[in-house]
Amino acid sequence: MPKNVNNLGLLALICLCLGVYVLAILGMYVSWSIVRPMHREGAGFVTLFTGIGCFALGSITFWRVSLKLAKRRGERP
Amino acid sequence: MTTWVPIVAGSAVAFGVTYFLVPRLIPWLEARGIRGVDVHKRSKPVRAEMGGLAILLGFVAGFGVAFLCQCEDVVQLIGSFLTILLVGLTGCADDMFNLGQRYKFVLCALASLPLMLVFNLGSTLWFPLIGFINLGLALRWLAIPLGVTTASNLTNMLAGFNGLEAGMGVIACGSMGVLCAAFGRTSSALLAFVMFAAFLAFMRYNWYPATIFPGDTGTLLPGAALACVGIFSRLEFAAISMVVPAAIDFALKMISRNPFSHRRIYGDSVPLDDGTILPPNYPALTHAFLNVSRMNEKKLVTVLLLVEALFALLGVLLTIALV
Repeated sequence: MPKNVNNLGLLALICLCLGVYVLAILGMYVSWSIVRPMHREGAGFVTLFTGIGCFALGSITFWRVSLKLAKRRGERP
Repeated sequence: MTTWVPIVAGSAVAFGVTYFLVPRLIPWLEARGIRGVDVHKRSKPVRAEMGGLAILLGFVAGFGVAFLCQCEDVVQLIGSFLTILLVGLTGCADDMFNLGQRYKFVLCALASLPLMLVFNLGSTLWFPLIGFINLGLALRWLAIPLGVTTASNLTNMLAGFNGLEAGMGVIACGSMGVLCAAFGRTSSALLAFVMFAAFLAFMRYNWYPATIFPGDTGTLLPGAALACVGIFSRLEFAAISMVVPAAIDFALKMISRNPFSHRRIYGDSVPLDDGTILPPNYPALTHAFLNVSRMNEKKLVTVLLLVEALFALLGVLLTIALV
């Protein structure tokens, strides 16, 4: 087992994964709260697509933060 | 008590058949040249591929035995079983003829046809904080094929490390089985537990250092099983939660310029002398973990399985607490 395993960094990434998940659910909740009173029929689809959008946004943020963490460790230029 | 008989019998048969078949399948596959290179080891050993065939056969045998003792939800069970079987066969075709990504998408969507035809369990999806979202007919004719195709291809993409695919199948199918049982949906629990048992038996041979790889047959199966069990039991949110790590991996791969030709352009990960892995320079979930902390293959797989277990636990707890 290599000695330089960065457990804190791994924990940070696992928390970020959870953050992506929470962001998607919150995005869906906000979208549902706004859209549902206005347009009842299509609200479900708008909510789902907002969730997917938030998920994609969260994933990009996840990658950027992981690169910053790697840079701090000197693993990546 | 009798409701548990088909689950226990089916799971035992699935485990036994898979466990018996894998060692016999290895020389058979190697003799036919169905082999792959273990790229994350310095010595680059060549191992038999398409071990998912043993999982599929174990699942078919286990389901067959369980089905003989099962009297409820027969039509829905057959629909779900056929969908999982067809996705597995798509994986076999991909392992043998190397189908393109677009063909896999189309074939997986077609494989969901049996489930679509037998589905008559409503038109709503449940999400925490929101409640039930009504999708009308789109749930049956759009969400089911999309769900099966997406889930199976997501689990197909987060793969390539010893024990990862089998481990994810074990965690996801086991958690869905427990959740379905907790909600009294024994028919869908049957599907989940039979698949769980088949993956558990396969994991004995696929865990680091692997003697066989699951191939696309084995990587498409957990996603298809999750989607079918989730839809059949109406516990879709839990199933979605369990594919979140694979979905993050997919989203990361899609943000780069050449999402389907990474390996050709950037090459594979490089195993170093101390056993740690140097990831290639493109976005992926495994690469994010390897960038932050230098790890060997076994440790990386353990961390990813921990993440999967965390999401499975979240999906189960949120569903139990809020539905």
